[in-house]
Amino acid sequence: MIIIHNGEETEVEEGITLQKFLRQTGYRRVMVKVNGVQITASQFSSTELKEGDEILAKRISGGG
Amino acid sequence: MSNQNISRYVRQEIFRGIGKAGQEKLKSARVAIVELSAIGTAVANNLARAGVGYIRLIDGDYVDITELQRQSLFTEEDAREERVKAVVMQEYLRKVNSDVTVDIHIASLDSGNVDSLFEDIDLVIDATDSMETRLLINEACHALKKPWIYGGALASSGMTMTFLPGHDKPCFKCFLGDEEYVPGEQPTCATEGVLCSTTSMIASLQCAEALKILTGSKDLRKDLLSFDLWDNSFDTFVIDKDPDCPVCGKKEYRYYGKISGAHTVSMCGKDSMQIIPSHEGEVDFARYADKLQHQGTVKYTQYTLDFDDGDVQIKLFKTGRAIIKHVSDEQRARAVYAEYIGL
Ligand SMILES: [Zn+2]
Repeated sequence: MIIIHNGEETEVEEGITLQKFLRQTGYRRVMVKVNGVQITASQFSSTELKEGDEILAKRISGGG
Repeated sequence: MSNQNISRYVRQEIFRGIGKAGQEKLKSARVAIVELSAIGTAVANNLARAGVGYIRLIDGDYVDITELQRQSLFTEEDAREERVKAVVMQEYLRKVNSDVTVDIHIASLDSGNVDSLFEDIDLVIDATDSMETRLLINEACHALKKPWIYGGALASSGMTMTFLPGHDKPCFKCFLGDEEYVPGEQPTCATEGVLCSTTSMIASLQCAEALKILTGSKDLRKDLLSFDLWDNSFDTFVIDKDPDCPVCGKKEYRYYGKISGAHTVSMCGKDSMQIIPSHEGEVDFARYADKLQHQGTVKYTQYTLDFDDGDVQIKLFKTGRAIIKHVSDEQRARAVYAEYIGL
C-alpha cells in the first residue's frame, strides 16, 4: 500500500505498524503525527498504518 | 544633534512586550550560553545587544575555517590563528555593548563544573551540538531549578523548546525516550551539513523566549516547535510530562552529579578528538614548551599551546584539556596525549 511520508509517496507492506515503519526508515528519537494527529512514542507499536495515511516524522535535532 | 538622552534600548522600551520596566529586568538578568556554536554565537550577539546585563560564555573550542559559513561573528583571521572562541566573542561583545558583563569559561560543560557555572544564573541557553551535554543541561537545570531553552539544528531542520522548573512541567528526557543515548547514534552537522539560516532561526526563536522569561512574560511557547526550511514545514508538538521520566519523574540522573574520569570526546565536524583529564589544573605552558621543543614546533599564547611535529598536532588548553587533530580514533588520541602531554 502507499502512504505519504513527509510529503512523499512511499510503498509499505499492508498493515504495517508505525513502529515498524519508523524503524525500517531508520528513525530513532522522532516526533510523529499521522494525518495531523500527534502520536506519542508509547503508541507507535499499536498504531497500524492505512492506505493513504500521511506521516509527518521529525527527528529530534541534536546539532548546534 | 545630541542623542545623549535617548536610551540605546529605545526600540525595546517602546515595544509593548518589554517597556522600560522590562529593560531594567534585562539589565539585572544573568544568562549562560552553553557553547559558541553557530546558535551560541548568534544568541550571544542578540542578547548582548538587547542589554542582558550578565552573559556567561561556556566553550572550550577554537575558530575553524569551516565554521565561518554560519558562525557570523568570527573572521578569517580568527580561523587562521585558531583563536579561542570565547576570547574572540568576549572582545567583540565588549565593543558591542560595554554595559554588559561578559564572563568566559574556556572549557566544555561537564558534571564537575556545571554547578558553579549554573547556580548564579537565571537562564541557560542550550547551543551545544552534543546530545550528552544537552542531557547534562537537562538534568542540572532540573536539579538546580533553572529554566533552559533547547535548540537543535541539522541541515535545514531545527527544533526548539522552552523548559521551566516545576513539578508539573515536562523535561527534555520526557520526549527523548527511555532508551539511553548512545554517542554516534544521531546524524550530525558533519555528516548532513547545516545551513546558517537554520541556526540563525533557532537562535532567534531562543532569544525571543529568553527575553520573555527574563522580563517575566506569561506568553512563553509551551510546545516543541519543529521546522524545515527546505520543505517549508512548521509544526508544533505537545509535550506532556511523563510521570515515569527518569529525570523529572524519578530524579535518577545519569550525567548530573556523576564524577567523570579522563575522557575522550570527538569534535563535531573537526576530524579531531578532545581529551579531558579527570583532574583539570593550571598547565605551565613554558615548561611544556621547553619539554616539547626538541620534538617539533611549539608556540603558545595566554590561552593555548600548539604543538606540531609534522605528523601529530596538539592544541593544549590551560586546564590540561587537549585537542588532538587529524585523529578520529579514541585510542590513538589517548596514546598521543599520553606520549606528549602525559595522562
Ligand atoms: Zn522528564
